[in-house]
Amino acid sequence: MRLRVDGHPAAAALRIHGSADGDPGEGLIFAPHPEIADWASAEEELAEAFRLTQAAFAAAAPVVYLVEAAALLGRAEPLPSAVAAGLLGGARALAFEGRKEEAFATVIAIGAGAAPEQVSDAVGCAVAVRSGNGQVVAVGAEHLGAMFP
Amino acid sequence: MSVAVVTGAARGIGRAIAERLAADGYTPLLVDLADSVRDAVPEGGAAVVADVSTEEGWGAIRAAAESLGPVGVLVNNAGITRDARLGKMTEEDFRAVLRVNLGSAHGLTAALADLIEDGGAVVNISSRAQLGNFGQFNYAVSKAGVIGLTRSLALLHAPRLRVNAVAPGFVASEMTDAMPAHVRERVIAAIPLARAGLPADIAAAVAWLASPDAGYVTGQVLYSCGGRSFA
Repeated sequence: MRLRVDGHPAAAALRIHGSADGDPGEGLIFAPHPEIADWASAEEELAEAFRLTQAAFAAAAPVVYLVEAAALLGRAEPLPSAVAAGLLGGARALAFEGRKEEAFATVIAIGAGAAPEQVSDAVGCAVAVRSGNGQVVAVGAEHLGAMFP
Repeated sequence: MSVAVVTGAARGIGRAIAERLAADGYTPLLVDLADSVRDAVPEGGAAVVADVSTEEGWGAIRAAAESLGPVGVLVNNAGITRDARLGKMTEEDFRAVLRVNLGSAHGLTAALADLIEDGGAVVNISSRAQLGNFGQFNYAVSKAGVIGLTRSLALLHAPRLRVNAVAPGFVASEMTDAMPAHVRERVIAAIPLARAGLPADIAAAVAWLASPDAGYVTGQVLYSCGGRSFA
């Protein structure tokens, strides 16, 4: 699988699933860059997600987007929250459009303090079981008592 | 009277929103890329032709708003579609939809926020399509992004301003009127309220969120979709 998880706290733990030069046709794990300071950066992050997702989709390979639970809940700056929620929209759209081909796309929302190994296990489980297709899977406790979009 | 800034207001939902807010007592400032927006201005209102996806456009809109008075509500309605199956979608079309539908809401809100009077509101237009729809990967990303933006802005501007979103479903328009009849019938058959939405339906939802009646509502998404979002 292709890992596009630059600067992610779980990057090392995720290497059991793939590599930075892995083939997206075998699957994609994408995390937006931790710093998104302006619109140009936000657009580039989502465009990169689009390119890699398109390659994975063409091969009917699984797609996993990793986002911060805080960003998805709206508890972050506007552009990181927009990007996190945008990726959720992308996962929903991909899963919906590709359902006849059994396409798979999920979003793993990571709470603060979640261990890297937890994140890696969540990715492995989601891909193996195809749980959370077109939906959010939460890791950690940050989302408790609140509602994802 | 407070000013209501409405983008994408030359026709359809945007025009209906501007007319409804004018009826509710706002001075409407209609914004669109199309010159025809000048023909859509209700009495007492104004129009500005501007590209909502550029800094130049935000500057022109801000200048127009400042000339009219304090802003009571900003409605980020401008949006485009460039549908294609994901495998056929071009990056150019992906970026274009993102810039107009999401980038404009972010940029224009940042450009106008300090002009919005205390107790004012921002209403962003999302879409039921962000839950998943065929051939709309770019649109879903942009409209879901609008929801994330809405939540963050709601926290950022609280308690001075409220920021919410409306997610329209299938709404009657020139585009939907041109659909083959059998396709249109199938779409409507899946809607619990058994009809296409009207621009006035969406305008009513926006008007409520902009009003003091929604004074305890912020960071929320109101689906105006005939029940299709869960049925």
